[in-house]
Amino acid sequence: MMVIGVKFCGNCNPEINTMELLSMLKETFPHYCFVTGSYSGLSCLIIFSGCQVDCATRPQIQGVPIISVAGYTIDKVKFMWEDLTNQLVKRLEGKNC
Amino acid sequence: MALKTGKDYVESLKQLNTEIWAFGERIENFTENPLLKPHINAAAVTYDMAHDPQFEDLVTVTSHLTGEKISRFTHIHQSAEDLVKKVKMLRMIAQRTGTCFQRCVGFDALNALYSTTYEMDEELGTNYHQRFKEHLKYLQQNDLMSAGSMTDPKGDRGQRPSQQSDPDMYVRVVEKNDKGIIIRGAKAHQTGIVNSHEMLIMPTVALNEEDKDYAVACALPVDAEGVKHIFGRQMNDERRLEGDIDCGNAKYGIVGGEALTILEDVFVPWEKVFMCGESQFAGMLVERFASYHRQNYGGCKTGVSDVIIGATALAADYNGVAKASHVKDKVIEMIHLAETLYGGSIACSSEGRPTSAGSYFVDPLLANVVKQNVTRFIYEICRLSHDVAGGYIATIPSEQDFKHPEIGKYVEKYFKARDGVSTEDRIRIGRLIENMTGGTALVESMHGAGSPQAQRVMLLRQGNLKHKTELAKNLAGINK
Repeated sequence: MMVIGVKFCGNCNPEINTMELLSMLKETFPHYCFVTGSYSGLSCLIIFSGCQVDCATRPQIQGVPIISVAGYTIDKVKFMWEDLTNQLVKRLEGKNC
Repeated sequence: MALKTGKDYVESLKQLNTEIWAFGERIENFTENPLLKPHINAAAVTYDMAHDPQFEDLVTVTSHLTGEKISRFTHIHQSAEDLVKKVKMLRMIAQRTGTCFQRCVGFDALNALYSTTYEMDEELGTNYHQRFKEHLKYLQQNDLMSAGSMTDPKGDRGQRPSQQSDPDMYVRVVEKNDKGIIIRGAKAHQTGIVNSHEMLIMPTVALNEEDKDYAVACALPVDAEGVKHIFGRQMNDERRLEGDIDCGNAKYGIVGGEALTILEDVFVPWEKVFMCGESQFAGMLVERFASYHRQNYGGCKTGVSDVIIGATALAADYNGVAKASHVKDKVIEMIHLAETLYGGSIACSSEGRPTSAGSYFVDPLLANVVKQNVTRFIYEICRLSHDVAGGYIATIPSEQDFKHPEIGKYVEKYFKARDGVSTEDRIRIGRLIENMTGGTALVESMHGAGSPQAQRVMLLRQGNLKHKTELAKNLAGINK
Protein backbone atom coordinates (compact mmCIF):
# COMPACT_ATOMS: atom_id res chain seq x y z
CA MET A 1 0.00 0.00 0.00
CA MET A 2 1.24 3.50 -0.81
CA VAL A 3 1.76 5.58 2.34
CA ILE A 4 1.30 9.31 1.77
CA GLY A 5 2.47 11.65 4.53
CA VAL A 6 0.46 14.82 5.14
CA LYS A 7 1.78 17.92 6.91
CA PHE A 8 -0.25 21.05 7.52
CA CYS A 9 0.82 24.57 8.30
CA GLY A 10 -1.08 25.94 11.29
CA ASN A 11 -3.95 27.34 9.22
CA CYS A 12 -3.73 30.78 10.80
CA ASN A 13 -5.61 32.50 7.97
CA PRO A 14 -6.13 30.00 5.16
CA GLU A 15 -7.16 30.98 1.63
CA ILE A 16 -8.04 27.39 0.81
CA ASN A 17 -9.70 24.58 2.72
CA THR A 18 -6.81 22.14 3.11
CA MET A 19 -8.95 19.58 4.94
CA GLU A 20 -11.34 19.56 1.98
CA LEU A 21 -8.40 18.88 -0.34
CA LEU A 22 -7.26 16.01 1.83
CA SER A 23 -10.77 14.54 1.92
CA MET A 24 -10.91 14.76 -1.88
CA LEU A 25 -7.60 12.91 -2.19
CA LYS A 26 -8.74 10.20 0.21
CA GLU A 27 -11.87 9.66 -1.91
CA THR A 28 -9.88 9.64 -5.15
CA PHE A 29 -7.20 7.30 -3.84
CA PRO A 30 -9.00 4.88 -1.50
CA HIS A 31 -6.14 2.40 -1.90
CA TYR A 32 -3.60 4.89 -0.49
CA CYS A 33 -2.94 5.34 3.22
CA PHE A 34 -2.73 9.01 4.28
CA VAL A 35 -0.90 9.59 7.56
CA THR A 36 -0.13 12.64 9.67
CA GLY A 37 2.57 13.05 12.30
CA SER A 38 4.76 10.23 10.99
CA TYR A 39 7.53 10.61 8.42
CA SER A 40 9.08 7.17 8.08
CA GLY A 41 8.27 4.73 5.28
CA LEU A 42 6.54 7.37 3.14
CA SER A 43 6.03 7.04 -0.61
CA CYS A 44 5.36 10.75 -0.86
CA LEU A 45 4.78 13.78 1.39
CA ILE A 46 2.16 16.46 0.76
CA ILE A 47 2.67 19.73 2.57
CA PHE A 48 -0.53 21.76 2.83
CA SER A 49 -0.06 25.44 3.60
CA GLY A 50 -3.21 27.56 3.74
CA CYS A 51 -1.63 30.45 1.83
CA GLN A 52 1.37 31.29 -0.34
CA VAL A 53 3.51 32.28 2.65
CA ASP A 54 3.92 28.49 2.86
CA CYS A 55 5.26 28.58 6.41
CA ALA A 56 4.59 24.94 7.33
CA THR A 57 7.62 23.54 9.14
CA ARG A 58 9.40 21.10 6.87
CA PRO A 59 10.20 17.74 8.47
CA GLN A 60 13.80 16.63 8.10
CA ILE A 61 13.44 13.72 5.66
CA GLN A 62 15.53 12.58 2.70
CA GLY A 63 14.65 10.87 -0.54
CA VAL A 64 10.87 11.32 -0.33
CA PRO A 65 9.09 13.15 -3.17
CA ILE A 66 7.30 16.24 -1.84
CA ILE A 67 4.25 18.00 -3.25
CA SER A 68 3.88 21.50 -1.83
CA VAL A 69 0.39 23.02 -1.83
CA ALA A 70 0.45 26.65 -0.70
CA GLY A 71 -2.78 28.58 -1.13
CA TYR A 72 -3.85 28.40 -4.74
CA THR A 73 -0.46 27.06 -5.85
CA ILE A 74 1.09 23.66 -6.25
CA ASP A 75 4.88 23.67 -6.24
CA LYS A 76 4.67 27.44 -6.78
CA VAL A 77 2.43 27.25 -9.87
CA LYS A 78 -0.91 29.05 -9.52
CA PHE A 79 -4.28 27.42 -10.29
CA MET A 80 -7.99 28.14 -9.84
CA TRP A 81 -9.67 25.94 -7.21
CA GLU A 82 -11.15 23.45 -9.71
CA ASP A 83 -7.81 23.08 -11.50
CA LEU A 84 -6.03 22.88 -8.13
CA THR A 85 -7.86 19.70 -7.21
CA ASN A 86 -7.33 18.11 -10.64
CA GLN A 87 -3.66 19.08 -10.68
CA LEU A 88 -3.15 17.71 -7.20
CA VAL A 89 -4.52 14.35 -8.30
CA LYS A 90 -2.26 14.37 -11.37
CA ARG A 91 0.79 15.30 -9.28
CA LEU A 92 0.09 12.51 -6.82
CA GLU A 93 -0.21 10.03 -9.69
CA GLY A 94 2.85 11.44 -11.43
CA LYS A 95 5.13 11.24 -8.39
CA ASN A 96 5.12 7.47 -8.86
CA CYS A 97 3.90 7.11 -5.35
CA MET B 1 4.29 13.34 29.93
CA ALA B 2 1.84 13.57 26.98
CA LEU B 3 0.19 16.83 25.98
CA LYS B 4 -3.20 17.27 27.58
CA THR B 5 -6.43 17.28 25.64
CA GLY B 6 -9.13 19.83 26.42
CA LYS B 7 -10.90 17.17 28.47
CA ASP B 8 -7.69 16.38 30.39
CA TYR B 9 -7.28 20.08 31.09
CA VAL B 10 -10.77 20.42 32.54
CA GLU B 11 -10.28 17.29 34.63
CA SER B 12 -6.98 18.70 35.92
CA LEU B 13 -8.77 21.88 37.04
CA LYS B 14 -11.18 19.75 39.08
CA GLN B 15 -8.23 18.45 41.10
CA LEU B 16 -7.50 21.97 42.33
CA ASN B 17 -9.02 23.66 45.35
CA THR B 18 -9.17 27.12 43.78
CA GLU B 19 -11.04 29.66 45.91
CA ILE B 20 -13.20 31.70 43.55
CA TRP B 21 -15.84 34.24 44.55
CA ALA B 22 -18.55 35.76 42.36
CA PHE B 23 -21.85 37.51 43.12
CA GLY B 24 -21.22 37.24 46.85
CA GLU B 25 -20.71 33.48 46.91
CA ARG B 26 -17.84 31.08 46.85
CA ILE B 27 -18.14 29.05 43.65
CA GLU B 28 -18.19 25.30 44.05
CA ASN B 29 -17.54 22.99 41.06
CA PHE B 30 -16.23 25.96 39.13
CA THR B 31 -15.59 24.00 35.94
CA GLU B 32 -19.38 23.63 35.56
CA ASN B 33 -20.34 27.16 36.59
CA PRO B 34 -21.99 29.00 33.65
CA LEU B 35 -20.18 32.22 34.52
CA LEU B 36 -16.76 30.61 34.09
CA LYS B 37 -17.45 27.82 31.61
CA PRO B 38 -17.02 29.91 28.42
CA HIS B 39 -13.52 30.97 29.49
CA ILE B 40 -12.63 27.39 30.36
CA ASN B 41 -13.91 26.30 26.96
CA ALA B 42 -11.71 28.89 25.25
CA ALA B 43 -8.61 27.77 27.12
CA ALA B 44 -9.48 24.13 26.41
CA VAL B 45 -9.27 24.88 22.69
CA THR B 46 -5.55 25.61 23.09
CA TYR B 47 -5.16 22.10 24.48
CA ASP B 48 -7.29 20.30 21.90
CA MET B 49 -5.56 21.99 18.98
CA ALA B 50 -2.25 20.40 19.98
CA HIS B 51 -3.75 17.08 18.87
CA ASP B 52 -5.18 18.30 15.57
CA PRO B 53 -2.79 17.98 12.61
CA GLN B 54 -4.40 21.07 11.06
CA PHE B 55 -3.07 23.26 13.86
CA GLU B 56 -0.24 21.44 15.62
CA ASP B 57 2.47 23.12 13.53
CA LEU B 58 1.59 26.36 15.27
CA VAL B 59 0.38 25.11 18.64
CA THR B 60 3.21 22.67 19.39
CA VAL B 61 6.98 22.94 19.27
CA THR B 62 10.10 21.09 20.48
CA SER B 63 11.35 22.17 23.92
CA HIS B 64 14.90 23.47 23.85
CA LEU B 65 15.28 22.15 27.41
CA THR B 66 14.07 18.58 27.03
CA GLY B 67 13.75 17.89 23.29
CA GLU B 68 10.14 16.83 23.94
CA LYS B 69 7.07 18.04 22.04
CA ILE B 70 5.39 20.73 24.13
CA SER B 71 2.65 23.32 23.89
CA ARG B 72 3.97 26.51 22.31
CA PHE B 73 2.40 28.31 25.29
CA THR B 74 5.17 26.89 27.51
CA HIS B 75 7.96 27.52 24.98
CA ILE B 76 10.90 29.92 25.14
CA HIS B 77 11.33 31.55 21.72
CA GLN B 78 14.49 30.28 20.04
CA SER B 79 14.31 32.25 16.77
CA ALA B 80 12.53 35.06 14.97
CA GLU B 81 10.54 32.30 13.27
CA ASP B 82 9.26 31.26 16.71
CA LEU B 83 8.13 34.83 17.33
CA VAL B 84 6.30 34.91 13.98
CA LYS B 85 4.65 31.55 14.63
CA LYS B 86 3.45 32.81 17.99
CA VAL B 87 1.57 35.64 16.27
CA LYS B 88 0.11 33.28 13.66
CA MET B 89 -0.95 30.87 16.39
CA LEU B 90 -2.73 33.61 18.30
CA ARG B 91 -4.57 34.81 15.20
CA MET B 92 -5.57 31.27 14.31
CA ILE B 93 -6.96 30.44 17.74
CA ALA B 94 -8.74 33.82 18.03
CA GLN B 95 -10.52 33.18 14.72
CA ARG B 96 -11.94 29.99 16.17
CA THR B 97 -12.84 31.21 19.66
CA GLY B 98 -13.74 34.83 18.83
CA THR B 99 -12.29 35.86 22.15
CA CYS B 100 -9.28 35.79 24.47
CA PHE B 101 -8.06 32.28 25.35
CA GLN B 102 -5.87 33.54 28.18
CA ARG B 103 -2.66 31.50 27.95
CA CYS B 104 -0.51 34.17 26.33
CA VAL B 105 0.00 36.20 29.53
CA GLY B 106 1.78 33.31 31.23
CA PHE B 107 3.61 32.55 27.98
CA ASP B 108 5.00 36.08 27.90
CA ALA B 109 5.88 36.01 31.60
CA LEU B 110 7.91 32.84 31.06
CA ASN B 111 9.87 34.41 28.23
CA ALA B 112 10.48 37.68 30.11
CA LEU B 113 11.68 35.84 33.21
CA TYR B 114 13.89 33.49 31.22
CA SER B 115 16.14 36.26 29.91
CA THR B 116 15.85 38.54 32.97
CA THR B 117 16.89 35.83 35.44
CA TYR B 118 19.83 34.98 33.18
CA GLU B 119 21.03 38.57 33.17
CA MET B 120 20.45 38.93 36.92
CA ASP B 121 22.66 35.92 37.55
CA GLU B 122 25.35 37.23 35.19
CA GLU B 123 25.54 40.57 37.00
CA LEU B 124 24.78 39.60 40.59
CA GLY B 125 26.00 36.01 40.86
CA THR B 126 22.54 34.78 41.90
CA ASN B 127 21.07 31.41 40.93
CA TYR B 128 17.65 32.42 39.69
CA HIS B 129 17.99 31.23 36.10
CA GLN B 130 18.61 27.58 36.92
CA ARG B 131 15.77 27.65 39.43
CA PHE B 132 13.51 29.17 36.81
CA LYS B 133 14.46 26.55 34.21
CA GLU B 134 13.45 23.81 36.64
CA HIS B 135 10.06 25.47 37.08
CA LEU B 136 9.76 25.85 33.30
CA LYS B 137 10.48 22.15 32.80
CA TYR B 138 7.78 21.36 35.35
CA LEU B 139 5.25 23.48 33.40
CA GLN B 140 6.29 22.00 30.04
CA GLN B 141 6.29 18.38 31.14
CA ASN B 142 2.91 18.68 32.86
CA ASP B 143 1.44 20.95 30.17
CA LEU B 144 0.20 23.43 32.74
CA MET B 145 -1.50 26.77 32.23
CA SER B 146 0.26 29.59 34.01
CA ALA B 147 -1.35 33.00 34.54
CA GLY B 148 0.99 35.97 34.12
CA SER B 149 0.46 38.02 37.28
CA MET B 150 1.90 41.48 36.80
CA THR B 151 -0.64 44.22 37.43
CA ASP B 152 -0.87 45.49 40.99
CA PRO B 153 -3.91 47.50 42.17
CA LYS B 154 -1.46 50.46 42.44
CA GLY B 155 -3.53 52.71 44.74
CA ASP B 156 -2.38 56.31 44.33
CA ARG B 157 -0.79 56.32 40.89
CA GLY B 158 1.15 59.43 41.83
CA GLN B 159 3.10 57.60 44.55
CA ARG B 160 5.76 54.91 44.35
CA PRO B 161 5.01 51.48 45.90
CA SER B 162 6.94 52.24 49.07
CA GLN B 163 5.19 55.63 49.41
CA GLN B 164 1.62 54.27 49.38
CA SER B 165 -0.45 54.97 52.50
CA ASP B 166 -1.58 51.33 52.20
CA PRO B 167 1.57 49.26 51.66
CA ASP B 168 -0.50 46.38 50.23
CA MET B 169 -1.30 48.27 47.01
CA TYR B 170 1.65 46.47 45.41
CA VAL B 171 2.64 42.89 46.16
CA ARG B 172 5.64 42.73 48.47
CA VAL B 173 7.75 40.35 50.51
CA VAL B 174 6.76 40.62 54.19
CA GLU B 175 8.98 37.85 55.53
CA LYS B 176 11.93 35.74 54.48
CA ASN B 177 13.12 32.58 56.22
CA ASP B 178 15.31 29.60 55.41
CA LYS B 179 12.46 27.84 53.62
CA GLY B 180 11.11 30.66 51.49
CA ILE B 181 9.28 33.99 51.45
CA ILE B 182 5.87 35.25 52.51
CA ILE B 183 4.15 37.67 50.13
CA ARG B 184 1.21 39.97 50.68
CA GLY B 185 -0.92 42.12 48.38
CA ALA B 186 -3.11 41.56 45.35
CA LYS B 187 -2.89 41.29 41.59
CA ALA B 188 -5.58 42.92 39.48
CA HIS B 189 -7.13 42.16 36.05
CA GLN B 190 -5.84 38.59 36.20
CA THR B 191 -6.81 37.07 32.87
CA GLY B 192 -7.68 33.39 33.01
CA ILE B 193 -6.34 32.93 36.53
CA VAL B 194 -9.44 31.16 37.84
CA ASN B 195 -8.97 28.42 35.24
CA SER B 196 -5.18 28.29 35.37
CA HIS B 197 -3.00 25.85 37.31
CA GLU B 198 -0.24 28.27 38.33
CA MET B 199 0.46 31.96 38.60
CA LEU B 200 3.74 33.72 37.86
CA ILE B 201 4.11 36.90 39.90
CA MET B 202 6.17 39.84 38.64
CA PRO B 203 6.52 43.50 39.63
CA THR B 204 4.43 45.93 37.59
CA VAL B 205 6.70 49.00 37.55
CA ALA B 206 10.40 49.84 37.56
CA LEU B 207 11.59 50.04 41.16
CA ASN B 208 14.30 51.79 43.13
CA GLU B 209 16.21 50.82 46.28
CA GLU B 210 13.41 52.03 48.60
CA ASP B 211 10.98 49.72 46.80
CA LYS B 212 13.09 46.59 47.07
CA ASP B 213 10.53 44.65 49.12
CA TYR B 214 8.30 45.00 46.07
CA ALA B 215 10.92 43.52 43.73
CA VAL B 216 9.52 40.01 43.81
CA ALA B 217 8.96 37.42 41.09
CA CYS B 218 7.80 33.93 41.96
CA ALA B 219 5.57 31.04 40.99
CA LEU B 220 2.79 29.45 43.00
CA PRO B 221 -0.28 27.31 42.42
CA VAL B 222 -3.51 29.30 42.05
CA ASP B 223 -5.00 27.28 44.92
CA ALA B 224 -2.15 27.90 47.36
CA GLU B 225 -3.13 28.70 50.91
CA GLY B 226 -3.96 32.37 51.30
CA VAL B 227 -4.88 32.91 47.63
CA LYS B 228 -8.41 34.07 46.81
CA HIS B 229 -9.87 35.12 43.46
CA ILE B 230 -12.78 37.53 43.09
CA PHE B 231 -14.18 37.23 39.57
CA GLY B 232 -14.83 40.45 37.67
CA ARG B 233 -18.19 41.35 36.16
CA GLN B 234 -18.53 41.93 32.45
CA MET B 235 -21.24 43.51 30.35
CA ASN B 236 -24.11 41.07 29.81
CA ASP B 237 -22.58 38.40 32.07
CA GLU B 238 -25.98 37.51 33.50
CA ARG B 239 -27.01 36.40 30.00
CA ARG B 240 -24.81 33.32 30.53
CA LEU B 241 -27.22 32.22 33.23
CA GLU B 242 -30.23 32.62 30.92
CA GLY B 243 -29.63 30.93 27.60
CA ASP B 244 -27.69 30.79 24.38
CA ILE B 245 -28.67 33.23 21.64
CA ASP B 246 -28.44 36.44 23.68
CA CYS B 247 -24.82 35.65 24.68
CA GLY B 248 -23.68 36.07 21.10
CA ASN B 249 -20.65 33.85 21.54
CA ALA B 250 -22.20 31.40 23.99
CA LYS B 251 -19.45 28.78 23.82
CA TYR B 252 -16.42 31.00 24.45
CA GLY B 253 -17.73 34.23 25.98
CA ILE B 254 -16.18 37.65 25.75
CA VAL B 255 -12.58 38.57 26.71
CA GLY B 256 -10.62 36.29 29.02
CA GLY B 257 -12.47 36.38 32.32
CA GLU B 258 -10.52 38.53 34.75
CA ALA B 259 -10.23 38.36 38.53
CA LEU B 260 -8.81 40.28 41.45
CA THR B 261 -6.42 37.84 43.14
CA ILE B 262 -5.76 38.36 46.84
CA LEU B 263 -2.49 37.15 48.34
CA GLU B 264 -2.88 36.99 52.10
CA ASP B 265 0.53 36.13 53.53
CA VAL B 266 1.19 33.41 51.00
CA PHE B 267 4.23 31.19 51.44
CA VAL B 268 6.48 30.59 48.41
CA PRO B 269 9.42 28.16 48.71
CA TRP B 270 12.82 29.45 47.57
CA GLU B 271 12.92 27.08 44.60
CA LYS B 272 10.00 29.02 43.14
CA VAL B 273 11.43 32.51 43.78
CA PHE B 274 13.03 34.20 40.78
CA MET B 275 13.57 37.73 42.10
CA CYS B 276 13.70 38.92 45.69
CA GLY B 277 14.90 42.46 46.34
CA GLU B 278 16.88 43.01 43.12
CA SER B 279 14.95 46.19 42.37
CA GLN B 280 17.36 47.31 39.66
CA PHE B 281 16.07 44.48 37.42
CA ALA B 282 12.35 45.12 37.90
CA GLY B 283 12.25 47.60 35.03
CA MET B 284 13.90 45.15 32.62
CA LEU B 285 11.40 42.44 33.54
CA VAL B 286 8.44 44.76 33.11
CA GLU B 287 9.69 46.09 29.79
CA ARG B 288 10.39 42.64 28.37
CA PHE B 289 7.04 41.24 29.48
CA ALA B 290 5.21 44.29 28.16
CA SER B 291 6.92 44.09 24.77
CA TYR B 292 6.17 40.36 24.36
CA HIS B 293 2.58 40.99 25.39
CA ARG B 294 2.08 43.96 23.09
CA GLN B 295 3.44 41.85 20.23
CA ASN B 296 0.43 39.58 20.63
CA TYR B 297 -2.33 42.02 19.89
CA GLY B 298 -1.85 42.09 16.15
CA GLY B 299 -2.35 38.33 16.33
CA CYS B 300 -5.23 37.81 18.71
CA LYS B 301 -7.10 41.05 18.04
CA THR B 302 -6.75 40.55 14.30
CA GLY B 303 -8.20 37.08 14.72
CA VAL B 304 -11.11 38.49 16.71
CA SER B 305 -11.49 41.26 14.11
CA ASP B 306 -11.62 38.60 11.38
CA VAL B 307 -14.73 37.25 13.10
CA ILE B 308 -16.24 40.74 13.52
CA ILE B 309 -15.59 41.50 9.84
CA GLY B 310 -17.21 38.21 8.82
CA ALA B 311 -20.19 38.91 11.07
CA THR B 312 -20.52 42.44 9.67
CA ALA B 313 -20.46 41.19 6.09
CA LEU B 314 -23.11 38.62 6.98
CA ALA B 315 -25.27 41.26 8.69
CA ALA B 316 -25.08 43.39 5.56
CA ASP B 317 -26.00 40.39 3.44
CA TYR B 318 -28.91 39.42 5.69
CA ASN B 319 -30.16 43.04 5.61
CA GLY B 320 -30.00 42.99 1.81
CA VAL B 321 -27.40 45.77 1.51
CA ALA B 322 -24.21 43.83 0.84
CA LYS B 323 -23.80 45.31 -2.63
CA ALA B 324 -24.10 48.95 -1.55
CA SER B 325 -20.81 50.67 -2.32
CA HIS B 326 -20.56 52.43 1.05
CA VAL B 327 -21.10 49.12 2.83
CA LYS B 328 -18.35 47.47 0.80
CA ASP B 329 -16.07 50.38 1.53
CA LYS B 330 -16.64 50.09 5.27
CA VAL B 331 -15.83 46.39 5.18
CA ILE B 332 -12.71 47.21 3.17
CA GLU B 333 -11.68 49.71 5.84
CA MET B 334 -12.20 47.09 8.56
CA ILE B 335 -9.96 44.67 6.67
CA HIS B 336 -7.37 47.39 6.18
CA LEU B 337 -7.26 48.18 9.88
CA ALA B 338 -7.14 44.53 10.95
CA GLU B 339 -4.34 43.60 8.56
CA THR B 340 -2.38 46.70 9.59
CA LEU B 341 -2.43 45.38 13.14
CA TYR B 342 -1.33 41.97 11.92
CA GLY B 343 1.43 43.51 9.83
CA GLY B 344 2.78 45.27 12.91
CA SER B 345 2.92 42.06 14.93
CA ILE B 346 4.64 40.21 12.12
CA ALA B 347 7.11 43.08 11.79
CA CYS B 348 8.07 43.22 15.46
CA SER B 349 8.46 39.43 15.41
CA SER B 350 10.52 39.31 12.21
CA GLU B 351 12.82 41.97 13.65
CA GLY B 352 13.29 39.86 16.78
CA ARG B 353 16.80 39.44 18.10
CA PRO B 354 18.60 37.10 20.55
CA THR B 355 19.12 37.99 24.19
CA SER B 356 22.28 37.04 26.04
CA ALA B 357 20.31 34.08 27.43
CA GLY B 358 19.86 32.82 23.86
CA SER B 359 16.11 33.34 23.77
CA TYR B 360 14.58 35.68 21.21
CA PHE B 361 13.02 39.04 22.02
CA VAL B 362 10.74 41.15 19.83
CA ASP B 363 11.54 44.59 18.51
CA PRO B 364 10.12 46.67 21.37
CA LEU B 365 9.46 49.81 19.33
CA LEU B 366 7.34 47.96 16.77
CA ALA B 367 5.61 45.93 19.49
CA ASN B 368 4.55 49.16 21.18
CA VAL B 369 3.37 50.54 17.83
CA VAL B 370 1.13 47.48 17.48
CA LYS B 371 -0.52 47.98 20.84
CA GLN B 372 -0.88 51.70 20.37
CA ASN B 373 -2.68 51.03 17.09
CA VAL B 374 -4.93 48.45 18.78
CA THR B 375 -6.09 51.07 21.29
CA ARG B 376 -7.57 53.00 18.35
CA PHE B 377 -8.22 50.59 15.49
CA ILE B 378 -10.42 48.16 17.43
CA TYR B 379 -12.73 51.02 18.36
CA GLU B 380 -12.95 52.01 14.69
CA ILE B 381 -13.48 48.41 13.55
CA CYS B 382 -16.30 48.08 16.07
CA ARG B 383 -17.77 51.44 15.08
CA LEU B 384 -17.84 50.42 11.43
CA SER B 385 -19.45 47.12 12.38
CA HIS B 386 -22.19 48.97 14.25
CA ASP B 387 -22.63 51.32 11.28
CA VAL B 388 -23.08 48.48 8.78
CA ALA B 389 -25.09 46.09 10.95
CA GLY B 390 -27.62 48.71 11.92
CA GLY B 391 -29.42 49.73 15.08
CA TYR B 392 -31.32 46.48 15.44
CA ILE B 393 -28.34 44.94 17.26
CA ALA B 394 -29.13 47.21 20.21
CA THR B 395 -32.87 46.49 20.37
CA ILE B 396 -33.37 42.76 19.74
CA PRO B 397 -35.89 41.26 22.18
CA SER B 398 -34.71 38.50 24.47
CA GLU B 399 -34.38 34.86 23.49
CA GLN B 400 -37.29 34.14 25.83
CA ASP B 401 -39.49 36.54 23.86
CA PHE B 402 -38.30 35.13 20.54
CA LYS B 403 -39.23 31.62 21.65
CA HIS B 404 -42.46 32.61 23.43
CA PRO B 405 -45.53 30.70 22.20
CA GLU B 406 -47.69 33.83 22.07
CA ILE B 407 -45.48 36.77 21.14
CA GLY B 408 -42.58 35.00 19.49
CA LYS B 409 -44.34 35.18 16.17
CA TYR B 410 -44.09 39.00 16.20
CA VAL B 411 -40.34 38.86 16.75
CA GLU B 412 -40.10 36.27 14.00
CA LYS B 413 -42.10 38.46 11.61
CA TYR B 414 -40.72 41.92 12.30
CA PHE B 415 -37.04 41.07 12.76
CA LYS B 416 -36.86 39.26 9.46
CA ALA B 417 -34.84 41.01 6.78
CA ARG B 418 -34.31 39.60 3.30
CA ASP B 419 -35.88 36.41 1.97
CA GLY B 420 -33.78 33.30 2.26
CA VAL B 421 -32.40 34.24 5.67
CA SER B 422 -34.11 33.09 8.83
CA THR B 423 -34.94 35.58 11.56
CA GLU B 424 -33.03 33.45 14.02
CA ASP B 425 -29.85 33.68 11.93
CA ARG B 426 -30.22 37.46 11.71
CA ILE B 427 -30.72 37.68 15.46
CA ARG B 428 -27.76 35.40 16.12
CA ILE B 429 -25.38 37.44 13.99
CA GLY B 430 -26.68 40.65 15.54
CA ARG B 431 -26.06 39.29 19.03
CA LEU B 432 -22.55 38.17 18.06
CA ILE B 433 -21.73 41.70 16.90
CA GLU B 434 -23.40 43.29 19.92
CA ASN B 435 -21.41 41.21 22.39
CA MET B 436 -18.06 41.18 20.58
CA THR B 437 -18.03 44.96 20.07
CA GLY B 438 -19.38 45.96 23.46
CA GLY B 439 -17.87 47.77 26.41
CA THR B 440 -15.85 45.03 28.07
CA ALA B 441 -14.20 43.99 24.79
CA LEU B 442 -13.36 47.59 23.92
CA VAL B 443 -11.83 48.37 27.33
CA GLU B 444 -9.72 45.23 27.09
CA SER B 445 -8.37 46.42 23.76
CA MET B 446 -7.60 49.80 25.28
CA HIS B 447 -5.83 48.66 28.44
CA GLY B 448 -4.77 45.05 27.98
CA ALA B 449 -0.94 44.79 27.83
CA GLY B 450 -0.66 48.36 29.00
CA SER B 451 -2.59 51.58 28.68
CA PRO B 452 -1.99 53.90 25.70
CA GLN B 453 0.31 56.27 27.56
CA ALA B 454 2.60 53.40 28.50
CA GLN B 455 3.19 52.71 24.82
CA ARG B 456 3.77 56.39 24.08
CA VAL B 457 6.50 56.51 26.71
CA MET B 458 8.17 53.59 24.96
CA LEU B 459 7.70 55.11 21.49
CA LEU B 460 9.63 58.19 22.55
CA ARG B 461 12.26 56.16 24.38
CA GLN B 462 12.80 53.79 21.45
CA GLY B 463 12.09 56.25 18.66
CA ASN B 464 15.74 57.26 18.08
CA LEU B 465 14.90 60.97 17.94
CA LYS B 466 18.55 62.02 18.08
CA HIS B 467 19.29 60.18 14.85
CA LYS B 468 16.24 61.70 13.22
CA THR B 469 17.34 65.23 14.16
CA GLU B 470 20.77 64.56 12.66
CA LEU B 471 19.15 63.41 9.42
CA ALA B 472 17.16 66.64 9.23
CA LYS B 473 20.17 68.82 10.05
CA ASN B 474 22.21 67.10 7.41
CA LEU B 475 19.68 67.66 4.65
CA ALA B 476 18.93 71.21 5.78
CA GLY B 477 22.65 72.06 5.68
CA ILE B 478 22.73 73.04 9.33
CA ASN B 479 26.27 73.16 10.71
CA LYS B 480 27.01 70.80 13.60
